Amino acid sequence: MIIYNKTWLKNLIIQDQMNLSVAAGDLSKEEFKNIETAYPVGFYSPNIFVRTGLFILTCVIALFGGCLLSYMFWDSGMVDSGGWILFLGLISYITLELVVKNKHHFRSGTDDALIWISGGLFCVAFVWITAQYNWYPDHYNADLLPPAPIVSFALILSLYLTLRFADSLMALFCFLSALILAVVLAVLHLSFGAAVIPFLVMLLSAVVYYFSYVSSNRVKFVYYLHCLRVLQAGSLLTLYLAGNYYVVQHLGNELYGYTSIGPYKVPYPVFFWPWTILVPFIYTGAGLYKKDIIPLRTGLILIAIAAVTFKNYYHVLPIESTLVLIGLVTLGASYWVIRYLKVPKHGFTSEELQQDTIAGGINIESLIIATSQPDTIHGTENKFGGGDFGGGGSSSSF
Amino acid sequence: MDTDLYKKLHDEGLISDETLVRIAEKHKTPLFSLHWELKTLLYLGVTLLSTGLGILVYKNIDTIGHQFILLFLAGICAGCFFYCTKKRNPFSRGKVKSPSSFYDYILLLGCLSLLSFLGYLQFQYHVFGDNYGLATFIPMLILFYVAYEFDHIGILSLAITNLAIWSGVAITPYRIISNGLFSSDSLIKPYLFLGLLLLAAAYFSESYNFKKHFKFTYHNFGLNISFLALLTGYFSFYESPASFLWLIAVLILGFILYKDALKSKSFYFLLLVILYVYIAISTLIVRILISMDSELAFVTALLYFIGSAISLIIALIHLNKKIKEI
Repeated sequence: MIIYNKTWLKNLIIQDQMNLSVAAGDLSKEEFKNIETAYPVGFYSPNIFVRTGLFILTCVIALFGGCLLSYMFWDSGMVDSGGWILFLGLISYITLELVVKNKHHFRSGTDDALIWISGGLFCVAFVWITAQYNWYPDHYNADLLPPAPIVSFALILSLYLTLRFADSLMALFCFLSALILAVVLAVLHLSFGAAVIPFLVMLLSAVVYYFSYVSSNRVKFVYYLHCLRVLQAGSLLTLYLAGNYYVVQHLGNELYGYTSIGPYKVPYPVFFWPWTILVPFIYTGAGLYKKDIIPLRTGLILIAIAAVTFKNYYHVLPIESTLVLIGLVTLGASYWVIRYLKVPKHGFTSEELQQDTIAGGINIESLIIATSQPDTIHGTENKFGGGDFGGGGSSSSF
Repeated sequence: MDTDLYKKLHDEGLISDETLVRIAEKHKTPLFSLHWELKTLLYLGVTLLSTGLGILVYKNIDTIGHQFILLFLAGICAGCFFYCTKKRNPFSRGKVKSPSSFYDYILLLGCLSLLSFLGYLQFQYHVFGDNYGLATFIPMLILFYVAYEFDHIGILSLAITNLAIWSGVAITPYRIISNGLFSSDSLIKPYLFLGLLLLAAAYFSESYNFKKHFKFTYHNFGLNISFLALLTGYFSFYESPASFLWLIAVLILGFILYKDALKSKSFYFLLLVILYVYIAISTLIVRILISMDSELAFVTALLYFIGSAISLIIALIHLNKKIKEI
C-alpha cells in the first residue's frame, strides 16, 4: 500500500534515532557515518527552506499548467464540467506518483503540494459531478453540515492518501472528516442525534486516541509513526473541545437557534464545567506521569484555552489585574521548577538534552551521573513510565 | 526497543563497546527534558506581566494609585536589572553564553517594564519635552546598549523595532498590512534607508567581528525591509518611466545579497533573495506581456510561469547541493 521504499523508511527511522544520539553526544561522528553507509536512505528530503520553496513553486506550476490546459481545450467545450476537474486531478495525481517513484521525493515540498492539490481537485470534481442530486432532506440545516456523501468521499479519499503517502496532515484531515461524518449521520438518522453530539465526538476521539497510542508502539505501524503522533494530539484536542463549555454553547446555538423557550442553554453544566477546567490538568498530569510529550504539550495549551473560556463567563477580576497575577504566578512557578530541577529529579530535567554540552558548560553525562547516584527507588519507578519513546523522541516537532 | 537497536548495531560492528555501555547506562535512567515547556511558560509569564502592568498604568493614570503602580513598575525594572548584573557573564566581543533561560526572560521583563516606565514618564511629566523624536530615541539607545552589553538577541529585535519607530515607520507585519503597502509614497525612502542601514550593520558586525551572531537578526530585518521598500517603490511609481530603476535596484541588491548568502552558506537568505528577485522579474515580464495585449501574450505568460517555476525548482535543488558541498 505505502508507496515508499520500505527498507529506506526503516533506515530513515534508524538514522533519525542515531542523529539524536549524536546530538546528545553519545555517538561519535565516525560511527554515525558508518551507520549511514550501512543503512542508506535514498530519499530526496531537503531542509525546511528548500521544502517551502518547492511547495510554493509546485503550486505555481500546477496553477498555471491547469490554466494553460484549460485554455487550450476551451473551444472544445469540455472544460466547463466536473469531468475536466477530475482530469486535472488525475494528471496531478499521476505526476505525484511519478515524482515519488522515479525521483524518490519524500517530504520534499513537491510531493506535499501535489498530495493536497490532487486531493482537492478530486473533491471539487466529486461535488461538481454530483451537484445534480439533492442530498438535503427538508429539515436539514444545510448551512452548518455538509451532505453525508461528500464527507464520505473526502474521508475515503484522505484515508487512501494517508495510507499511500503516510502524510501526517492528511491523517489529521481524515480523522476530522470521520468526526464530521459521524455527527452528520447522527443528526440525520437519530431523533436525539443533535443532543448527543458532544458525547459522540468525545467517544470517537477517545477511541482514536487509544488506537493511535497503542499502535504507535507496534512494529507493524512503524511507517506511520508521524501520522499516529499527529493523530494523538488531534484526538486529544477534539476530545477536550467536544466538552468545552464555550464550544458546546455556541454549536448548540447554531444547531437549535432561538427556540420558544429562549436562547439555547447548555444542559448538564455540572458535567461540562468540570470537564472544561479539569481535563487540561489531567492531560498535563498524565503527560508528566507517562513522560509523554504529546498529552503534556496539548494539556499546557488547553490550560490556556480553559482559562480564556472561564474568563469569558465569569469576570472575577479586571483584565489587567488578571494578566499581572497570572504572569507573576507563571513566572514564579517556572522559576521554582527550574530551581527544583537544577539537579535532575525523578527523571526530569530543565536542561536541553540534544546538545553536546548544555548551558553552563556541564556535560550531560555529569547530569546522568547525578541522577543515577542518589536513591534507587526512583530508578525502578522510571522503568515503568519511561519505556515509551526512550527519551530520544522528546524533541520531535510537528 | 531502543537499546535493542543499539545492540544490533553493536553486533554489526558499527558502534564501539564504549558507546554501547554509555547508551545503555543512559537508558537505565532516561531523562525527560522540560526545557521548551519551561521556556514557553517563562515567555508567557513575562509577556502577560508586562502587558498587564502596561494596561494597569494606562487605566489608572489619573487616580492616586498610579504612583504606587509606577513605583511597582520601577521596582520590577530595577530588580530585574539587579538580578541580571549579578548573574551575568563578563562582556566579550564574541558570543557570551547566557547563565540560564530564566536570566534571559528576566532581562526581557526588565526591558519591557523600562519601556512602560519611560513611556509613562513622557506622558505624565514630559521628561523629553515635546520632542517626540527624543522620546523614542532614548529608549532605543538604551535597548541597543542592553542588547550588546548583556548579549540578548530578543532585545536586539526590540531595539531594531524601536529604531524603526524612531525613523517614522512601522515594521511589524500587522502595521505594514493595515497601513497598506502601496498607499504611503512618503514612507518608501525611510523604509529603504532603514533597510540598507540594517544590512550595513549586519555586514559590519561580521567584518569587524563584533557580536558576529547578531548578524542574522540585522540581516533578516534589513533584507526584507529593503526588498519590500524597493518593490513598493516600483509599484507606486508604476506610471513613470523611471520606475524601472527600482527594479534594477532590486536586481543589484539581489546580486550582492546572493553572493553574501552563498558566502555565509545560509540557504534561508538565498531562498528569500531568489523569491524577491523572481517577483521583480515576473512583474516586469507580465507588464510587457500585458502591454502587448494579444492572445499569444496570454499563452506566453502561462508558459513563462510554468517554465520559470520548473527552472527555479531545479536551481533550488542545485544550490542546496552546492551550499552543502562548500
